[in-house]
Amino acid sequence: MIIGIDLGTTNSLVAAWDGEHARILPNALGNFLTPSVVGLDDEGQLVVGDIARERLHTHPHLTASLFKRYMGSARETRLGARVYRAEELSAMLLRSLKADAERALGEPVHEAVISVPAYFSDAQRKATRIAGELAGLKIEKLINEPTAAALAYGLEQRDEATFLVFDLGGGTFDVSILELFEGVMEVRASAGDNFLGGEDFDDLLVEHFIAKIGAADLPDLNQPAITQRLRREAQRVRHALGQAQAARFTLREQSREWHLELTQGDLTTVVQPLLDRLRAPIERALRDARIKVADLDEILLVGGTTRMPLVRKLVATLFGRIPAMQLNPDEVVAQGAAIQAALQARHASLEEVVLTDVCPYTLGIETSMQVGGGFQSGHYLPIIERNTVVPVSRSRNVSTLSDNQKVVRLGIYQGESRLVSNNIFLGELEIPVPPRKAGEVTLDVRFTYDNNGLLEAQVHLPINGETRRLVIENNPGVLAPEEIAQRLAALEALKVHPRDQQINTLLLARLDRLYQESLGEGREYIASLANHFQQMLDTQDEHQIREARSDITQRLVHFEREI
Amino acid sequence: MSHWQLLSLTPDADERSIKRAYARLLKVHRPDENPDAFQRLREAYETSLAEARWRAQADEETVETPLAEPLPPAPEEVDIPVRDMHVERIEIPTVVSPPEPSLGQMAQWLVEGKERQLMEALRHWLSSEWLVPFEHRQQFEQCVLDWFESAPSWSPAFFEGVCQAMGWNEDQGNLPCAYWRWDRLIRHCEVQAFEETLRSDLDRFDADKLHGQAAALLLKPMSDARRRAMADHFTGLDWQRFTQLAETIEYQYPEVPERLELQPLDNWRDWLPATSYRGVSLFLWFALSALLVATLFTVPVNRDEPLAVLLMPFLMPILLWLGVKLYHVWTYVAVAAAQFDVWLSQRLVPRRWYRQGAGLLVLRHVVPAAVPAALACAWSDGAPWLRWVSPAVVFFGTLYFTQLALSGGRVSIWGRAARAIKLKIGRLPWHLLKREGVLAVLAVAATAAWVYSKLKAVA
Repeated sequence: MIIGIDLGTTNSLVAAWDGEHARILPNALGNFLTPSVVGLDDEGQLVVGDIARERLHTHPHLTASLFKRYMGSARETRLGARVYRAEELSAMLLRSLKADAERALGEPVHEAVISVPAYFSDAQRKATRIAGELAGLKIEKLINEPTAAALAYGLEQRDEATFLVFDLGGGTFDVSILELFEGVMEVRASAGDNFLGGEDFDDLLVEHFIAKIGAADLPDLNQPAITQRLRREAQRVRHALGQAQAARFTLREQSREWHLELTQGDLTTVVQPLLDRLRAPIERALRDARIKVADLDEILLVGGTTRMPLVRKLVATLFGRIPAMQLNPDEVVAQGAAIQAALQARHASLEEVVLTDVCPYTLGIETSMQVGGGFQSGHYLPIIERNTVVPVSRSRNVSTLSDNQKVVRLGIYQGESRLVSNNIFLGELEIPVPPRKAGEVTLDVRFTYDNNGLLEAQVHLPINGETRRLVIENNPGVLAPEEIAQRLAALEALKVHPRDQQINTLLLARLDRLYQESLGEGREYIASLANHFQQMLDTQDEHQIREARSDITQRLVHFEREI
Repeated sequence: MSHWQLLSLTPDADERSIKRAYARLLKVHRPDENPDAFQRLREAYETSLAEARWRAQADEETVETPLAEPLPPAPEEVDIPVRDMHVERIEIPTVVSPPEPSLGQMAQWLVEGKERQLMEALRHWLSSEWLVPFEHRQQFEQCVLDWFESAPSWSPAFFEGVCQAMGWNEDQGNLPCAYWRWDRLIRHCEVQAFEETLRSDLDRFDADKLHGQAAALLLKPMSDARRRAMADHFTGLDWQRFTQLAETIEYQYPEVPERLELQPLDNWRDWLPATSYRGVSLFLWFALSALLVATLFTVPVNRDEPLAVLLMPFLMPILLWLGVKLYHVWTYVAVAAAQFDVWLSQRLVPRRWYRQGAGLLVLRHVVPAAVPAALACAWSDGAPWLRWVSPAVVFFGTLYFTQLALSGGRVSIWGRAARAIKLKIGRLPWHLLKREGVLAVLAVAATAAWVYSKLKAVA
């Protein structure tokens, strides 16, 4: 069985094809959405999802969130005694999702299709693949999120259509334009912004709150606990403003409280810079696909952040029509990934549909150009243009620059600028060449971009028939194979918090958080509830624990509504 | 196998059947199973599609949608059916009309060169509600592009301003049109910028006669004498600028002088100072040595003379060096009298050699050539024909090689022949020697061998 996983910035989901539908599989707590937060509990055991999210406030040094943003970079996060890379943190999450799937399906799972933002770079895709490996999953395919969403919408059942997927998630923004004909789903163009999502909206709200209240007046903002509390509150306010006209932004610390009333108008003003940034990728995708807005048959909204009426209104204005949102925007990507997984397994119940995707970036090498009498280095020679259909293999010829040159250094870059200094460096290869006169030694540089969005460079020297393959080295964002093995061993040694206790642990963690957040009487109330629950847990009587749990959960719902 | 055959289609297939054929074959050559076959299929598909579209476009005139056409009336409030969610209401704000001034008016402004006014209007448009929907925005963008493409001239600064306002950025790959169209606009910009600098250079020259001399020498209409005098005062840097400018015009912007209603020198390479007079020296050395050897034939020889003659070719360079020094002194006089020189040369020197003052001049080149000719006359004893022929050969030979040296970039017959030989025997270590070196070694060896055999015969 191949499962489909949506590895999100804020939330992750796992889904599987049951023969008729793509079904979202619930986690140990019975929820479909698993927050993309991991951490260690007091015994050093791994906790994932809702529990970790609660502990983000009470134990910020033992929990990590938003790590998808650091995929493909060398950045490390400290959890307790050790530092972890984004791949490892994602692997912990994937491991938990895998366990959830195995439990729901009742069979072991070894393979998965993982969705990634269409605008993810080579390094980010590799990192995702490695994360899967570290979690003990064979990654059958990486599917682009907008493409997955399109699959889930079942658009392949239509004859012929062109549509645009607007995918605004927790941390990334993707636009894809897809064309459908004769059972072929073809991505025409993809564009996006890897650092634009719901979390950025929250950041702006937090900044606004701080600016309005005045930083001098507030407690030390560098405390991780305060930061987390502000972020959570910002998210709550943002969600609340989706329906209510106004909401109150509150921060409590020890015995003090700060308030800020926010209306929908305020929210629009605060996030306007982000809304403006949504424009450019859409424009670029439309240009690259050479498509008129009038020719688009449908606009699909995908990703949790598109639930914001603000965003939907903007999309409606931009396109002059009502966007489609029949499916739950949180779940649609995971469903699509599951459908892709079933397609991969050639599931008989699925009508055959062939998907073709594009590479979102231009890939090329550094060359020198003759300027006046001399040569100027640092020019970009594109080999694969952006939005070329993949898999694709293209080659260009380059030659040596000076007499008796012994080595050619080939810099590989990704980006759109004519100067490599403005592009992203991917790797470098030194190729020894036989010393000849300038220009006599030619190199045939071939780039192969496979279906999963991974790049391989190959250099062929016709002069001596040598061929070299480029394993992109020197890239700090990608782990080397031996390092992967080492980290895999370290991760496997990590104990996981027992699954059947998760629901109780979550309640305790939640009580902990509320205790920290509330004041005076409320605080005492929470403390008494926590004590009561702890006593019940100590009795080890399953029946009593369940009753206490539902009772306390209800009380907490009331409690939280009141404050 | 052509791309049509690969798709099993005939070249007149329409877009629909191409897509159908592609879809059918795609199920066989899946991208994830057989990437190579897929790529071949994909390329065939793209080429065929491009051809079919191009043909369709050629068949019928493309109908352009007028910009002012309003969006289809959208209902003010619509219920979106949402599963698992509460029902939301979204309203689409409707915009009444496009802002002022009209697009036609703005296009007119660009033609009239009212760039500041146009920029303001553009900003006004861009900030208006009307351009928020992508559809209007796309049409507006194409409109602005059309203005730029159809207007005869506009300033690069203005274009840059528009790029910034419209968000066109080549470095980020945000271009409003295909590369070839964009490159044309950029080229237009570069031409304009080049034209500006050229014009300001020439204006500065008109004002102070100190700056912009390179441009003036190349482009200003003036008398030969004036141009010659100006060129004589050029420094190395001036010549560098001159060459650069001339090459830029020739290779990159051949249309610019015409736009400025100027005619650049068509023989600008001739004006460049000669890089070397080696040809002249070599000729004189060879000719005079040959003359000395020839006298051996024509006069009865006494015993000492052959040895002296044999030594002479080796002493000749010293003589030539002295001659060159003398010539340098003479050039001061000749340059001072440049105006008279040009006047004289215009009348006396054949047009091919005179080259509007860039080639041979009477005082500067023709008169000094008489000196080696006189020397040849003095050295030729014996046969009277030699006394007449040798000065003439030396005189015209010197002139020929001088004008060759003056003709700048052009390569002489000898140069070409030598290069051909060099190519043939290039694999040998010969290339270590310079061209003249090879000739000298050959000539000396031949002369020595021949004289040796002659001496033997005499003895």
